[in-house]
Amino acid sequence: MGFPGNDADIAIAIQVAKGTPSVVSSQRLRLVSGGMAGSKAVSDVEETSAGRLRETSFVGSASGGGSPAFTVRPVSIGLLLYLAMGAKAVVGVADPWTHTFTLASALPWCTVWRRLATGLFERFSDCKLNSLTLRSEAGGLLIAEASFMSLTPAHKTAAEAPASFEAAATTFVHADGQGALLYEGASAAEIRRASVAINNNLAMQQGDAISGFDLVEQVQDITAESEHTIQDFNLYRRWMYGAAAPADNAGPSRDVLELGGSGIDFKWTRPGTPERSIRMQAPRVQVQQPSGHDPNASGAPIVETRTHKVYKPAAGSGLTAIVLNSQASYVAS
Amino acid sequence: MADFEPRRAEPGQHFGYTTREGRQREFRADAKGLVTPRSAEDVAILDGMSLPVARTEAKAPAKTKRPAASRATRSATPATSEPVEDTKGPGHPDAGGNG
Repeated sequence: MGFPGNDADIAIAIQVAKGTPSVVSSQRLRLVSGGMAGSKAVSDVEETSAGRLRETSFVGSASGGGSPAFTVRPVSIGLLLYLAMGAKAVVGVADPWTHTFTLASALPWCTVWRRLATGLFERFSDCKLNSLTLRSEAGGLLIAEASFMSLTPAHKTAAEAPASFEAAATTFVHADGQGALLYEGASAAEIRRASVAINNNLAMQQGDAISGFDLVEQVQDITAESEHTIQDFNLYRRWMYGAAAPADNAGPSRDVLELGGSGIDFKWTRPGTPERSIRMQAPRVQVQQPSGHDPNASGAPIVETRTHKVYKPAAGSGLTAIVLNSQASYVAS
Repeated sequence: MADFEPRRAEPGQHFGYTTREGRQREFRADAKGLVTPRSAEDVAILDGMSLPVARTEAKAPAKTKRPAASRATRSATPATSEPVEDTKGPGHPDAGGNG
């Protein structure tokens, strides 16, 4: 008898402090792909020997982690954004509550529970969110892929007393961004794919134990990518030659192209009331490369993939996420 | 002085982040929407939210006309890099005996 692979989930909670695993989960999420697992770094003992086979190996470190992907839903995405960005604020007197997440220097510690059918239960505490990517594509769902790192895996003999799942029919689709996927402040109807990725570049610090003792936030990389069925080549010309309509024989521009207007401002709103929405705003964005432009022998339209990177603005947060949902607050447990 | 300038937020607005020591810190704006940071970390969080310093609103009425005497007192202080918003030209009737 095997275990059905679809019977699996992840539960998450914010920790009160490092070293204090959460006692109860606050969100429980179904998985689109990926998951959590323990890991051990096993290396050969490399030394001279009489034969061609190594004599043995050793365990250098043990940790936990994984990159589960979830269907974005209004409440759980707020928790993921807080874990990825580090600062939260909420206003409102009733549903919908407005949560604003901004970038902080230190990230919250969290606990993640893993359940694989009725066969395997684990708790990964002293966990931080290394990276979070939100992406949606024409005709598809808005998906969040989260990459966790944990210092302290622990076996559990039973599943985490579960927080309930969010209602299944509260997903977002790419079309929920209609008219609100703003590029340089203007609606870009031709955007066929949009994504924002936060990478905290965590580094596990190992000392005198087999497990690490800290996860350090290194320099942050925030990138955004969009794919456009382009209506003109202006962005490429601006990026390469410094102007949307450069002069004949104009040479390459030595300036970095920085988006004007409000930079990148993507918002997905589910139909209906009270409002359920997710908005990602990056005011200072530089274009790394507009690429693609591949000719197609069958006449398929030319597509441009635009990669961007977020830089520090003069004031405020480089990235702001605003979520409207039914949850009054995200608290540690 | 370890005091930090209060910031203007929404009444009752709730803030949270993790301190460098790994502890959760939560605090709220008061009923008037004022939130007073208690540490440099609090300040960084509030600045990240682009919340204005509440003092700037208190300063706004300073644009109203002040008595010449008070301006004279101010002009007697050593020059600083801070511009005086309502400085009048020498020929202005309010210029304080220089016209």
